[in-house]
Amino acid sequence: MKLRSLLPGAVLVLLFFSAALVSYLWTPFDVTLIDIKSRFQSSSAVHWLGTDHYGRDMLSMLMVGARTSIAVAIVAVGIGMLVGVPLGLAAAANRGRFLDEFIMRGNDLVFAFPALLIAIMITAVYGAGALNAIIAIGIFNIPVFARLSRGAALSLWKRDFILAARAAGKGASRISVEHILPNIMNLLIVQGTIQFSLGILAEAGLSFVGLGAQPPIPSWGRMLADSQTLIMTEPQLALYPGLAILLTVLGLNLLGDGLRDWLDPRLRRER
Amino acid sequence: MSDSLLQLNGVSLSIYDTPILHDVSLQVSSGSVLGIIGESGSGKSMTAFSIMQLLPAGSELRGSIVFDGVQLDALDETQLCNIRGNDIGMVFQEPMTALNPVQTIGAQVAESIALHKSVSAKEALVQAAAVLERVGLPNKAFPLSRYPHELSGGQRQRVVIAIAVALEPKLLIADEPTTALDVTTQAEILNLLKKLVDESDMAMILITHDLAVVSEVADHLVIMRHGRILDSAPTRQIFNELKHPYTKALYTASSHSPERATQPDTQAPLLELTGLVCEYPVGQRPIFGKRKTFRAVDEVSLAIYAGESVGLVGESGCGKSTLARALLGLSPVKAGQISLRGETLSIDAGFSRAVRREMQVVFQDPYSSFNPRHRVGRLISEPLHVLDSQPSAAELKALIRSTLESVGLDEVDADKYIHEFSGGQRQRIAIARALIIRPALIILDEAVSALDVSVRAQILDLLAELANTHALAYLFISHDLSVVRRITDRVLVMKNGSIVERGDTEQVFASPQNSYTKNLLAAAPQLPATSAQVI
Amino acid sequence: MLHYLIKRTLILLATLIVASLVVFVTIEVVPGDPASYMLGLNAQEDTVAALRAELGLDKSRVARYFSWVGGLVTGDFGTSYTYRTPVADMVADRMWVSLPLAIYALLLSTLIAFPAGVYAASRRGGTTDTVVMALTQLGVAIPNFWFAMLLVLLFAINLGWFSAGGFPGWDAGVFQALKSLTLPAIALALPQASILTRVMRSSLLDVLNEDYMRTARAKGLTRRQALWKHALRNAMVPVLTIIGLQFSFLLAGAIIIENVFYLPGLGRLIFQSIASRDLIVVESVVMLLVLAVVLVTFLVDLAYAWVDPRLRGAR
Repeated sequence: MKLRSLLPGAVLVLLFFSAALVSYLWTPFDVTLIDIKSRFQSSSAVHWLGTDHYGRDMLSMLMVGARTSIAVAIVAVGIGMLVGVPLGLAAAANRGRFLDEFIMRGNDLVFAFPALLIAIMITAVYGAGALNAIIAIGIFNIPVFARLSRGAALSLWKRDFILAARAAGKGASRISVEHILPNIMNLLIVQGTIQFSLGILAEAGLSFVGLGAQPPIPSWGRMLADSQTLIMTEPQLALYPGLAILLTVLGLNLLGDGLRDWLDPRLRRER
Repeated sequence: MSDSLLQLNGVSLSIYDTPILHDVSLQVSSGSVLGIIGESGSGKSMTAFSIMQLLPAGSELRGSIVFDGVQLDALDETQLCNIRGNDIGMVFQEPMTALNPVQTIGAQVAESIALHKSVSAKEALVQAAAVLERVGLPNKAFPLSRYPHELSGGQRQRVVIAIAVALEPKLLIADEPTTALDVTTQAEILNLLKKLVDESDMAMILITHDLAVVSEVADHLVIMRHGRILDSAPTRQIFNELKHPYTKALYTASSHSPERATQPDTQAPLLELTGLVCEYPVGQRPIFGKRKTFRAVDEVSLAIYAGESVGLVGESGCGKSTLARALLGLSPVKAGQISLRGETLSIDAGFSRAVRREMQVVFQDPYSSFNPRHRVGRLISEPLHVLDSQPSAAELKALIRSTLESVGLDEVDADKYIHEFSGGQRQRIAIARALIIRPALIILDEAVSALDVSVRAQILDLLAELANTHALAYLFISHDLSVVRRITDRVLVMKNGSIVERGDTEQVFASPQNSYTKNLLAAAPQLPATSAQVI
Repeated sequence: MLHYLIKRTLILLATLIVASLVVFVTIEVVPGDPASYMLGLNAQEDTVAALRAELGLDKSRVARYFSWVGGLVTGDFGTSYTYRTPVADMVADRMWVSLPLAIYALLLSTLIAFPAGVYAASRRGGTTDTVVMALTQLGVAIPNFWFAMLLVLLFAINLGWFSAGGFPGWDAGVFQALKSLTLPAIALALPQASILTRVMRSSLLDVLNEDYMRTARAKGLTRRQALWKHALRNAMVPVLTIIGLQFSFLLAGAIIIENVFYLPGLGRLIFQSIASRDLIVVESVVMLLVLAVVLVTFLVDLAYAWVDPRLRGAR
């Protein structure tokens, strides 16, 4: 069994998820507390990862930042799945007909707008905020899931068991829910973890340039942006948030790879 | 024989410690044809790949393979590459995927030539053209610039053969070269292979599961099962004596006729088609206007009576599967009428539940016919969806049990998933799914074509028995004439969307009237007679 | 082939038309009155009126849309409200930074990914394969702007090989200009190269399992020859898709990276315009970037047909 990546992936993901969850109840320090006197402290027993330019505890900031990243990415992937998968299934059920063509052309159109451009347009008109990031990343996720589920559903529609279900008089939507969806679930889960990690990267990027979460809400991208001007004197401020992003994304990707191998019937089937 | 071209001595093969071949010994001499016969999993293909020394990763080969005086298993990769394609050519089962889709056929044949001969690229193309001509692809009709996707299956197989024989090898290995082809194409390809052997001193190994196919070509036969050679003798002797019990079992299964005792009710037709036309769009959608359509079923009329078994034979693309789908309400119908028990069905509105209760279907591929995520109990009860009132849990359980038992399976199988079953068992489950609502007609679309002969014989018996006990009518769709002959009362021959001949099965097979039917029957390979006692 | 070409061209045009509608509606229609939005809450009545007249807001929305698109087609992108210069001139200046940066990065990423992917696939399961795969796993996970900061820290601040940011302009010489684009290009290219390497490898591994690879080996080709002559071209379709997608990621990524390195490209322009609520500039630059993405998709479609004869149609 090739499950080498499943365990480290799951451990990393679990670590950051629990950090985010714990931060709702408890953080070592209050992240809204500004204490200029104790700024730029290095690691100590009190501040494990030191303090930033406002004297805020870095570990607490990272925990609350994990919350922002994960929340934005989860909601964005959720939007992508909830809208994209039904669209993809409907397109596949109506393959070759107008609805299919319409949905797929709509997908192509959305692909012409990278998430950053969508965020830029929204920000230009409505101002910046974490909601922008969610909408921008979410919209970009829709065609990803629509294409994936359409492609996978199309190959299933050619299978004989679907013909048998049609011969039993079942309609297209019932077949989609009963036969197609369960069979593409693995793919969706794996793609979900990939989009989740891309979402975290995108959220960090948007916050980094000021299009995402706004102060005082801590976010990893924002922390990196703040550290940019201080990189000569306080490089450690840039180190921790970057590592947090890297490890979270790495964990999600490993988890996705591991899940793919684990869920793949070809690798599991005993003959 | 010391003058043999190829000699395998005690060859054993295991892949990642799973044994595949056990102590295989055989020999081939120049100018002769060796047939290797076996069902799936017999190790016949792996024997071929062992000779080519093209084995998957993790393979461990023992024993000796001597070709033309050279110990093949002792050669290094460079020496082997000089032999492959040059002294030994190989033809594969699946012509649709055996050619590189992004290279022209000329380039693919010429590559072989340029690789082993020091000729210019231009000269290689000239020689490639000559080879293609030799395998029956004249340059005028099939220029070198053609891509594989522009050719039919049979034509592609000719290209593969051209690649294999381009350098006039001493040995040609053909692994199920005709299995994926229609009967008439199969006959043409077999004739071509025979011709190539006769023209030169080339030896050939023909690997197949079909006794009838090898019997016409091979001089010597080897019968394999589970990686071992069970029987080996000159072809005539094998068939005459049927010495080994497995050989005999294969022979009997190949010619097995189930016992049938149905009395068709010829009062009024159960199902009647009049002037049925089905069309579907083909090609790319033009920028303006409508897509071209292809008429797959062209004014077909037929009747099936209760309790009767009707065969529908034809080659691939003749429209028989489209017809089956139209009957099930799965394919749009352009014109014509379908009536059931005298009542005309409204095709456009979709079939009613009452109609769907009467007709069920079994498909060809036992591997794609089932949702891998449902248990067998749920799989076979899917058609119950068309009942007006759903059975209670207890009734359902009893029904699933009795249906599974009637196809030779067990009650406990209801809780298993489909991947736990073999191909033959899956086809039994498919029949159970068709049977569960007690239909009057089951459409069998190539239902036994993917099965090994011994399993096929069992399924044919099951079908005959079910017809007897349940007064079922079958529409038995197949490309395999010998099977249709053994299981049907009447037969229809379909070509290019039309029925070209119809009549009582024995009569049509004994004295075909239509020229196409005659061609089909002439092309179908025949099992030779035996003097051994066959039960 | 002609049929394929015409169809792709029509799709390209249709996508552009709909995209321009989306941009126009989002930026000019949805917020209500763009003039008062651009000037903010404390604007004088008469300045708002003047801007309204300048933007042509007294005309109908349909007329405005057509004059905007007409302008785009003829190269007249309007006049920036904050800078009082033609948007077309500003864009042209900035383009000479952003476009070379994206192409530089795309070249780097392809040059790294091709050999790495082919090498890993041909030595599947070996040490090299494992190492390459582990590195790409890291490369995919690293945020490019953070990577950019690390590059600055190491090569500019500690080693002093490159400047930490800024762009001397092409007038300062091609070498100087390229040198100042090198760190940004590496920062952009490395994560993309990791993705491309993985796609290249898995696509090749899929192709290596195809029946025609067996035919090629049976001809007497060595494993290596079969890989180069038969597998590579067949493995290109998914790789091309990714290269096409990457171009739009690189353009978008460039917007962020330009901020790290203080490069005067389209990205900086767009952020300055957002800050000063200069909708005219935002609208046109967004449309320009969309055009670039759509054009690249079109080129990728043409490349498909070049790679795969089955798509050329006309059977």
